[in-house]
Amino acid sequence: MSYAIQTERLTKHYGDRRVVDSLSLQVLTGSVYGLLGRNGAGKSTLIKMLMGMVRPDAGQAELLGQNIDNLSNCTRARIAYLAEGHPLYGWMSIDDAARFTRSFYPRWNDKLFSQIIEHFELSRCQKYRRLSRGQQAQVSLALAVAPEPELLILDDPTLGLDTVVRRDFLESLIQIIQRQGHTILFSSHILSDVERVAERVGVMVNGVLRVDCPTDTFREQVRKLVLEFSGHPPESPKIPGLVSCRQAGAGLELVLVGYDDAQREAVEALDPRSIAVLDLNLEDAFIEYTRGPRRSLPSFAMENDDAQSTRDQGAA
Amino acid sequence: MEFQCDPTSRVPIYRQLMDQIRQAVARGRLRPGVRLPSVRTLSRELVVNPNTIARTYTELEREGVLHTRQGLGVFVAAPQADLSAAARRERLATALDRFLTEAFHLGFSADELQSAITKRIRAFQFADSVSNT
Amino acid sequence: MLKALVIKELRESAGVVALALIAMIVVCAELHGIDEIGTPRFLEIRDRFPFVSDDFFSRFALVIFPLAAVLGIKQSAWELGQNSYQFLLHRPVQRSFVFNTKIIVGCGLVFVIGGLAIVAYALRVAIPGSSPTPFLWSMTADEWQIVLCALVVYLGAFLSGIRPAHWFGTRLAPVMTAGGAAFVFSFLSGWLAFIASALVAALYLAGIFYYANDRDY
Repeated sequence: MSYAIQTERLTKHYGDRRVVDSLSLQVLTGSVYGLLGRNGAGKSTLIKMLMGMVRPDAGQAELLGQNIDNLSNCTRARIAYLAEGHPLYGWMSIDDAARFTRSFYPRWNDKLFSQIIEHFELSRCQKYRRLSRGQQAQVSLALAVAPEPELLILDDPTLGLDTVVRRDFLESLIQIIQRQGHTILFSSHILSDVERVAERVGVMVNGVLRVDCPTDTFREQVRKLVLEFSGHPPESPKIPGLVSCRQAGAGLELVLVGYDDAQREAVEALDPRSIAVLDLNLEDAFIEYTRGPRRSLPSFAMENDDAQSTRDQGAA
Repeated sequence: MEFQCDPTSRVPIYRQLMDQIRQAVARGRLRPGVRLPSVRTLSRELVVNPNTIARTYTELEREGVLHTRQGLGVFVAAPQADLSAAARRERLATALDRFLTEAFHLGFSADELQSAITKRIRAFQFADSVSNT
Repeated sequence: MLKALVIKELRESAGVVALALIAMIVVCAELHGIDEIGTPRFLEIRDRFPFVSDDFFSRFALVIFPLAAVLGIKQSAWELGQNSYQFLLHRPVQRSFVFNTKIIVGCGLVFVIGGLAIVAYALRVAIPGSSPTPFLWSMTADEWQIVLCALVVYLGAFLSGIRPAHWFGTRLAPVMTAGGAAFVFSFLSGWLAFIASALVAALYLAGIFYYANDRDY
């Protein structure tokens, strides 16, 4: 079992703020990992640290088995990076960009590059700044993929793209996934994209990785309970795994991680008139989990071999 | 057969597909011996991670609904009677109890249920099943 | 990849270079006698000693120093503004290689444009019968010294561009001090100017590579 990406207690401060807080994460080779988090949670900073764009204040990371502090050029040639907003030199034509990029890599699959460009009916002499955002995203992806990298790191690749273009982009991504051995780490705000494509998710909240488990597990573990009370609902119930608690009319809406016997007993001990347990889809699970008051967030991180453990990472 | 998936559903995608395949087999739309699309094709069509499709097929193979022929693909399995008559009846009884409970909570009477079931069986186009007593 | 990087830097500098060339032509046109072309006065002996007591020196400096400053800032800070370092710096090359290439191209351009201006004027002056003194290349020494000082200004500007700074004032500090230093050095005599410039240049280069490797992009 090898890891394409491993980080150990990666930390970055900006002033007093810990933008990335003691973050330890592992991505299995050949898997697709979705990094989630609200704006400002630290996803971009984490990715930039992996790519050497930002220096960590503490901690280590390895990409394809090598420490990021001294990545050999040979290893870098096997890693592709798509930064947020897919920046590129506007004055370059698609052909210029291809020739520029190609000069750095020993492997360059020009047939693959042409395939993507032709599929989107782009002409190689079009200047990058004249392309629409969606077209720019596709060109950037084509440039990232042509050197046949083993590891792709994408920072919010579908940001600002409309629905149709997003679907196109995902299709290209699926094609990449189908070619064996690619590891992909991508951050996203579009939960349905993550549901489609990611095998494992990580949720960052205020720089801390609170969740690191298979996509299905995250969705299944976050539950919403609607409790009705005959009298006044209790103010702040003490229930293990409680994410948030909201008063809704004569009742309470609780969001919990997991729902085992201990939790059920604690809920029943509040003596509600009725208990309704709702399953959530991925988007709602994410919203409920990250919306709650930050102090009391129960974290759940799972080992890659699916052993269940609750590990509190970083400062609470 | 047309597959669909809803990534915004509470049901995981692999389970949605499993349900669709199971239902199609039950309705006779997928007959035994029919080849299902390859993992690659289906994952590209539905824009879903190939591992999800692979998981669907693996789970259904475990249930005996599908089987893989090396190098040839994934096929609908011939219906097999690997459970004893008693076991099958017991399973049916459990499924029926579940269904009847839900029907009760929806407010239907026993008579209404009888005609509803008959009508539904006709509409479902129940496929030929293994008769085994 | 060296070729690709060099071509990229050249294409991106083309605009600035073109402007500098035009400025140089405009500013020096009078000295070249542009208003006298075609007339017999064009080949007559002029009343000033070229390079020695005409104002080619100051006109030349007027174009070369801003060129160096603008080029230095453009090559470093423009990519920051566009965020294109995210496209450039993760490539399988050493970061120092990328920045070395930028700097060599920039310095090269300053040197070439300065050199062209000097040579063009020298050729004009070398037309027999057009100047009261014989032309010696040693007369251009002061101008070459200016070119050297311009390189210092270039490096100061590059450092200004690459330094992370919150306040605009501190950001411009290196380029301003470079300008000041260059101004002072241009009045020093040959070897002193060379040594002083080399020292300051080395300082700026150290700063550039420190920030290039250490800063957040």
